[in-house]
Amino acid sequence: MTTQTASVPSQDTMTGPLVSVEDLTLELDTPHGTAHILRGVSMAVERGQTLGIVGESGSGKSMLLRTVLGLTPGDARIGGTMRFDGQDLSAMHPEARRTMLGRRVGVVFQNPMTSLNPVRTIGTQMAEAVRFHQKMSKQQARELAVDLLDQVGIVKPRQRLRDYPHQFSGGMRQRVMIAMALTCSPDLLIADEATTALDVTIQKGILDLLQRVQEERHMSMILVSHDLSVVAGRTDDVIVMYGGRIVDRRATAELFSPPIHPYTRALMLAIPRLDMDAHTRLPALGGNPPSVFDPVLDADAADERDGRRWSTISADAADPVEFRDGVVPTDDTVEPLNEVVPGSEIGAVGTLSAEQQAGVAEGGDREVASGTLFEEIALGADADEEERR
Amino acid sequence: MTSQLKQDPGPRTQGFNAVIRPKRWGTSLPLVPRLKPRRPRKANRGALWFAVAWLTVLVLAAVFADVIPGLPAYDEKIGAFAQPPELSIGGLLGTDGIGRSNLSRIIYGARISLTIAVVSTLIGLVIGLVVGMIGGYYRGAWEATANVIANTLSALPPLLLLLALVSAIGASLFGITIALGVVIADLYIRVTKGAVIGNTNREYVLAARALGAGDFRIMTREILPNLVPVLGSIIPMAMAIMIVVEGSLSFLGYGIPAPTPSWGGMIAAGADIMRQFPLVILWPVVTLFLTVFSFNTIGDHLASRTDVREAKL
Amino acid sequence: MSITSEAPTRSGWLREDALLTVEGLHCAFKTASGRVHAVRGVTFDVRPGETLGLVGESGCGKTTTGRAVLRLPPPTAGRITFRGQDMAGLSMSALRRERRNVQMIFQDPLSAFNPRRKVVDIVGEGLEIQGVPRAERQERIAEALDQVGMSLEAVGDRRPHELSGGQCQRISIARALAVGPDLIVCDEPVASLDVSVQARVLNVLQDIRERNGLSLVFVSHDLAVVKVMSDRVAVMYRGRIVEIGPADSVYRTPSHPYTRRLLDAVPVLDPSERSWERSQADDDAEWRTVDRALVEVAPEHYAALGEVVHDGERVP
Repeated sequence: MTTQTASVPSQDTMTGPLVSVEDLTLELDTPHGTAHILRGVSMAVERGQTLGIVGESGSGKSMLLRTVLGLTPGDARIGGTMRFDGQDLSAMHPEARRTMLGRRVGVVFQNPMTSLNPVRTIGTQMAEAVRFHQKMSKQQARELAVDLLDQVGIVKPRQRLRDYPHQFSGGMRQRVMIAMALTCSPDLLIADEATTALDVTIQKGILDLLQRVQEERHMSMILVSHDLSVVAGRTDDVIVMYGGRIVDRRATAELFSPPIHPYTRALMLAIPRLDMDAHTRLPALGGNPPSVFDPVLDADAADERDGRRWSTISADAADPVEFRDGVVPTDDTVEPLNEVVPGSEIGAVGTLSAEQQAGVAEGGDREVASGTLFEEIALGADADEEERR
Repeated sequence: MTSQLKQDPGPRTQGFNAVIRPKRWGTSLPLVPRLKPRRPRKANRGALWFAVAWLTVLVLAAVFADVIPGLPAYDEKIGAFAQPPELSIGGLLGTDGIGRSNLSRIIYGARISLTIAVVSTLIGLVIGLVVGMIGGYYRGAWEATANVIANTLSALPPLLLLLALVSAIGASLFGITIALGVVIADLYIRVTKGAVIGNTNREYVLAARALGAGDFRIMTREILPNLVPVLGSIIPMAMAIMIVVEGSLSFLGYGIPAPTPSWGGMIAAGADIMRQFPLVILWPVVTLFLTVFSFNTIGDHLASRTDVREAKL
Repeated sequence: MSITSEAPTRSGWLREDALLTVEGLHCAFKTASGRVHAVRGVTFDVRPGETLGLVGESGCGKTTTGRAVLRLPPPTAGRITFRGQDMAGLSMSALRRERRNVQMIFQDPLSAFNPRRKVVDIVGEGLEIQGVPRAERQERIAEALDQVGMSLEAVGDRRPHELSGGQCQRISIARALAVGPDLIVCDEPVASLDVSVQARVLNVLQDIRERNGLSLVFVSHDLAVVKVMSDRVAVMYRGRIVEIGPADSVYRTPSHPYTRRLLDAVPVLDPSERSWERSQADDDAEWRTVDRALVEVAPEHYAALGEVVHDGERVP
């Protein structure tokens, strides 16, 4: 079994990040106006590191990836710079960009059934992928395919090459997708909600596999998920997206260190825990995310507008939403309960009653902010053993 | 890997929906922000207005044919045969192979052809809906029965079946419409059955049952309305076929007895002298074309207005 | 429907004062690849006001079990008793009347609605079927919508595709609520919702549960969600229950290796959420092919660690 490392990056960019994006904007014209999908996104992925991107639906996280990979609709307007290994992607010819990225980036999507051609065998598809980017004979390509299937944990890979996608279970198909993504020994592996549709035990297997593969090959990895728990355990850095922009970015180890970003905190508090009591009410955000049709605000103004929503965490049932015809509703009727300025020390929100604090440490948010509850993660995995009750 | 990265963005509207539609649809955002315009684009507006105008004029002319001033009767010989158009009401479109007014025959023929189109479609639809719905909803033996009926109808050569039915019932408007309705029923049976089977497994049927709905209510209130888009797209086409098939019947002598005109009959009659006098066949063909085009345009427009497919992800 | 019970004596974990009792449930379907036994001998009960969580991975039969409680479709074997009355013995019309006591909420709100209907008609459908007069119907629809935090004036005339996923799910809840049931089966109601929307919908469920004294059967693959909703939890695998007991007991001291495996695999933000030790025995996967009887491992807490009931890959 050969362990293939990532191809050698160009000399003068050895130290720079593998992927860097600066002030990226994406706009689309629609009958309802201009949709601002991405609003000034800047981020970077270092070599050999794992980046997690977290966001709810409509936050732009998938579009961010698609924009970098060049998979946006033809009439989308893209602003800002994108660099891969030092090269300016927007300056490249689309064909050249596709060829380069195709060879150096592997992507695993959410739904393996639609990513694989159902009427062709796995072996054919993998061999095709290999031979498109590398000069190899059919025999060599097949050997490589067998090797890769073995690496991703598929039993009896040689026989499985002759199987069709529907003969694999969901988890197995995702493994095949990962194998296909690895055929050209990419420098970057992107998993876009790769495990969302899978059962929890299979999800663990796939995530473990991705981690192992990434370590063995010293690749960079981007893990995109709506689930903060998935990202929290397996990444080096984390980016939280909201309303088409990045609102929080930090090292995963510091995710729970003060000051916690109010939106990140809202996400954390809304996640149910395995040790909560029955009939716990989870604090949740009221209202809706900003509309894509809202004109672009600068970061501070956007923070102010969104901060009002982020501070509306409450465990009350629901909020009646007013509609405006045909337009994505933004809820202006929600009363701000506390003004929260991102970046500052979080004060007590005040709406969390004793009942609601079942997932949160006693005494209110100050405890959460000081990291009592999640200290173990900050201290690292070894602390787990001692802290377990 | 490369198969995804080599994907083209795709045509414009696909790009919109693929881009904006959130991957996980359960969010605070509406499930599909309405990016596709509800109405057809400007370019098609003209076609729609023409279609409506054409059909209105046609129907009015057919209904009030008797009182159109100066219009000769359809069996009245107004001149020599196969005359070209001239500037008189009767001779506006020239004369046919016997010397009768083409215009008059087209207008009176509209009565027959449109009636045939609508009534035979209705008959076929009723048969198709009933058989298809019961077969698709109850499955098992009912579905097998529906299949047998549909397969038998489609296995018999349509023309032979038509001839047999018309001979049995009689070559009148009544007989021909029934015969045509029966022959086209197999199409409606299949389409309905397929759509019903697809819809019966949807969760809203299950939900209706959980709320206590009986079978009849589910069939009529839940499933039937969702068949409308599917059926709506084939009905205009089927109507056009009905008109033309009636022409074949006339050609074989089993159609509406002369001298009552029908477009199909006029086409069939004109086919004989097509070489020497092409104008005679031109008018019914053009009329038929415009009418079918209008049916289709209006059908498309209605389909796009009532289509809630944008709600499905 | 043949009425069979697995054994002459009642299973130990069934209680006398239960609202719903399911004994020896078997559900089999004919599919293209032969007969599939989705549920093989499931026994549980639900007390008034209690929430039972049904967890398991895809294919374990939890959804089928939930639907079988409503007899949609009727099970192949087994006995379902609601308020002491055996559901199997009812005529079609009596069954339809009983239906209003047990309702269901589905996973996919869009496909659970007829897309051509307005919200007010959707929510009032059950009442209309029962023949409730229009005035009273409007009142009850408004009240049901109010309980889920929506107003009839604001959303009544809308169609499902104009609303967000969370709102659609709340309408689904209102629809079930409007007919005044005693028990609601929730089939993965929050599976495809974002985290904050999920929390809101769960809070709504908690609200209506409290206000109306409902029992819930909460079917989900998400163990954390089940934990915050349920008093008792049943873990299913391959059509059988492998562990059932009070939620705290099952989650803090899972006894069956499959349960431990499930809990181990759940991604958590805080490792302290898991409070038990992994042991060597966890890697043994005999439970994949061998079905065992349920035995008591803690008060009211049962796990399938008893004698072998069925051995072998192929399901009977």
